[in-house]
Amino acid sequence: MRSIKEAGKNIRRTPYLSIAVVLVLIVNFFIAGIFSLLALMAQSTLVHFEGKPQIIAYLVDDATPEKIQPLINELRETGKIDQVKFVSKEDALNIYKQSVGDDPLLLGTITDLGLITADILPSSLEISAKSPDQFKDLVNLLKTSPLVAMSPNNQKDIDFPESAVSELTAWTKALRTAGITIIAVLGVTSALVMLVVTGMKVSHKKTEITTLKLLGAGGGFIAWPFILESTLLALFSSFIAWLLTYSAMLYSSEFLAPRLSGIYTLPIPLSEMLLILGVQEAAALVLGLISGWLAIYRFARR
Amino acid sequence: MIEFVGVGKTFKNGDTLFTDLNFKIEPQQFVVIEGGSGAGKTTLLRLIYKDIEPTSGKIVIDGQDITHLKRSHIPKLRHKIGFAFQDFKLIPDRTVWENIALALEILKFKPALIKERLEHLLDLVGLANKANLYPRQLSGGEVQRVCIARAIAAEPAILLADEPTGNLDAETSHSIIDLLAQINGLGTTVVMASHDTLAHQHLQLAHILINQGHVETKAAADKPLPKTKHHEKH
Repeated sequence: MRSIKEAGKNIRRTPYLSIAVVLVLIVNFFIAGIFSLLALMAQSTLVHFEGKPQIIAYLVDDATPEKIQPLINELRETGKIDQVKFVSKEDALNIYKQSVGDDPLLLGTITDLGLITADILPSSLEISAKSPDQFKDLVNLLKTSPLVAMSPNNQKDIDFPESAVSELTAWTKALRTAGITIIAVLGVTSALVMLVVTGMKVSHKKTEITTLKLLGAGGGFIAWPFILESTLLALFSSFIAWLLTYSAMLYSSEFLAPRLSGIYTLPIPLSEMLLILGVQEAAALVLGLISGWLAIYRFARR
Repeated sequence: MIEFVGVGKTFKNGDTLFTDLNFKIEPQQFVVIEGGSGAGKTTLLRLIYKDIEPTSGKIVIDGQDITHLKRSHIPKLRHKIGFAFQDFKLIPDRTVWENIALALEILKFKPALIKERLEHLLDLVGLANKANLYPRQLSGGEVQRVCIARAIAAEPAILLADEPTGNLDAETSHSIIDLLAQINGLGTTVVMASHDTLAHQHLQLAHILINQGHVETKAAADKPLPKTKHHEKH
């Protein structure tokens, strides 16, 4: 209790130093928070696309579930697929019906004109790979099968958005790496700023500390107010930065939500934001404790 | 209570103050350490307080050899000893009350007990009406009294006072010495470094005279303190 009171007194008695630390830490925590959110959203986007069927191999007209089963088994044996689904001609027609929705003109091609029937639609295999890295192997395997139809340009009729998912994966990895690097650099910067400022405060109280030592004060009695001071400043800064991050997220949700519809729900639920707050506060706690301790330890060693 | 056995002290710059100091101070004595400027009076007190290390010999405090005391055990030793520093070492941005309370907070006294103890101490040193003032708002004698109050706040067995009458007028000096005698009368061993013989000559105190690195005891420092007028009152 005494240490907390002393820490509060120290903060009040050196207001400009305290404000400087808080501002620097708020900026750092805010940037770190934004990067965390971006990484989280990128990861969710990637998971969304990875969860979709990634390879569609169109089959020859006489392909039946029985005939296609050996190919499915062969694909499964590779251990590289997550899911594989046979879509029959009837299933394809149903998918087409769903996709046209209420458009009377397109719906008429099925119901009135009978132009679109199950016969003219190809059956297919929808495959989800465990990783986009495995697309090539799976596609090569499909290319060897006579059950996979040929396209008009004399190629096997296989759709796979290789470049899109690969690029998304690359972007997510890059964002994650950049995020971790930036958070690490900001963490070190914050620690150094706190170390220097707390060190200045300790140095400012050199005479008092010497007196306390002479009066028989132990290390903890002297050190805890400084450690608590830096910890309180870090926790406060982290909280304010979180509030700013949350506000920025709410503000940008209106713009981002329609663009990420179906991929990521915006605004981010409060429970997830509270989780981010928890992680940030934990980081602030560690930051404050370590930098405060280092500052006083450097002085105590003299 | 305090025993120096063959204590020597040579500083890093090669200056030697003592080579073989030997004396003993019994419990509840009031001893004056005398000597000219630079004789080593403050050094002797700092040795007792474990602020500096002796180069040779042995120092025993309250039956404990402190010569090779671990750094982590020094605070515990200092809880037994109160020190009224020559330069006061009061914290300027704390009030009289806060400065004295600090000595008790270090010992984790409860707030209610600190309040009770401080009221008594401020009465004892005659500063009851100045508790909320800052050191800069006090006179020299008052600052010295605060320093003494802080030193005895935790009721230490030993009180060290380094030139407590330095730079004070004769009347104030007398009142400070009387205060120390009063504290001694309550059972505290008092060791005072002083070059001001006039201030305490009326008390006929035991003396340790440091002269060119040698110790000479006057008025038999190892014998009980002669009774003073003040002691007779108690």
